[in-house]
Amino acid sequence: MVPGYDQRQARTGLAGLTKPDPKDRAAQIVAWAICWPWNLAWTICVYNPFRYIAEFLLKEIQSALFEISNGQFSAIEQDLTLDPLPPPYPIPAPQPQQTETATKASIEVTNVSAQPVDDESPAVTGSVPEKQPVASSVSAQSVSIEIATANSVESIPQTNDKNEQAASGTPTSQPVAAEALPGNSPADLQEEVEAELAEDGSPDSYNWAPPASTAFVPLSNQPLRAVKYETDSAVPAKPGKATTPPKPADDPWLEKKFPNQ
Amino acid sequence: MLSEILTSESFWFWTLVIIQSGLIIWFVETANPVAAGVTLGTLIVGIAFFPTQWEHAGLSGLHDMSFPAWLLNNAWVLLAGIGCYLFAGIAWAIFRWWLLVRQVRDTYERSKADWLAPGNLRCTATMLRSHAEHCPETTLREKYLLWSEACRMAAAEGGHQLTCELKPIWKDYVTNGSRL
Repeated sequence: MVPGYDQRQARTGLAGLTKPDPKDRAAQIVAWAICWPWNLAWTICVYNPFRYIAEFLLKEIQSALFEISNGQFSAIEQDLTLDPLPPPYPIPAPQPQQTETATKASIEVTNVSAQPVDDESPAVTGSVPEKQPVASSVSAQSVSIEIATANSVESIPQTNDKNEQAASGTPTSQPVAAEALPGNSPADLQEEVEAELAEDGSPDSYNWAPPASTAFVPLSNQPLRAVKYETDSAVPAKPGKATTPPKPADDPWLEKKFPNQ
Repeated sequence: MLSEILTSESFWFWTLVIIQSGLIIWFVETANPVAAGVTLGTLIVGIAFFPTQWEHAGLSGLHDMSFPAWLLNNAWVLLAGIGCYLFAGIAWAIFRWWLLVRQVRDTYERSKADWLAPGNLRCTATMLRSHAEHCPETTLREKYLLWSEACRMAAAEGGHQLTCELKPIWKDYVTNGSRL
């Protein structure tokens, strides 16, 4: 046992310290109220309340003075604070960086004039290059379709909310648009290829559109102008044209001259 | 000389006032409002037995008329006096409550400052280590060792700061005292 530990505990008397509850001490409070002159004399003689009153007043005055100085110097402290603030200009949207090089899927379609191409033609079912054996390729026509993959859409670093919204707003599951597919192919065949690719759901069939760049609209430097309206006119006066109220006819007071005018 | 003092009405009057006041203070300090009220009532009634001292209590009008007539003549004054007395009592009770809470807080702050002194923290660390050495329970032993180390570190850093590591020890000290 460390000497002095229990003595300190006995001196402080903090064991079982709880917040004073007026309900628990109602009897004492009533006794204070009934016999207040005697309790006042006893408190002044024994407990020395002036010390607590003085401390309380001192702290209150101190906090009031601090409040005043804080209120007056808040703007100055903000000016002198060197914390990094967000830039007042918009961050330009970075160009999407594709981690994988655009692959080119080449579909070669063999169209034999003697045999009509139907929907179930195996030449257009696969996205990988396939070569059909040409039996009698007299008028064979090769169609090459290049599809750019955009597998790295998710890896684009987002810089601000607008770009994020633009990226999330861009549907990645939509099929490849016809304009996005270069190549000179017949329209019907192109549609068939699109439909096939959309059904496959392969990454090659996704189209990625870059997010729209953040447009910065500068505020006008023109100062606000005050517009003055003529009080007597029903409509606002045009600038540069002063309006005069019409003079009523047969008004003798208008013709009268006063000496002080 | 002594017989004159003992036979004088003034002596017994002030003796009554002093004894009754002592009783009232005692009953108020021991939170016994009923006994305090009864003692106050007996003090007021006891004044009636000392007619020569009525002037000291502001009751000189009782010499000229009967007590009921005096009550009727001074009814409003009496009611106003009782009202003011109770109002002042309520105000005093509120102030006394503030004073009591302030005293409790002051005691707590002083105890905390004493406990956070570097010397006391070192003593507490030694005591906790001693507790840990003699504690058969593993969990409790680890807790005491952790607390002992926290006290030792706080003392090495100068003390006077209730850090997060010291808070559970301080709470245990406040709740249970030295019975860790």
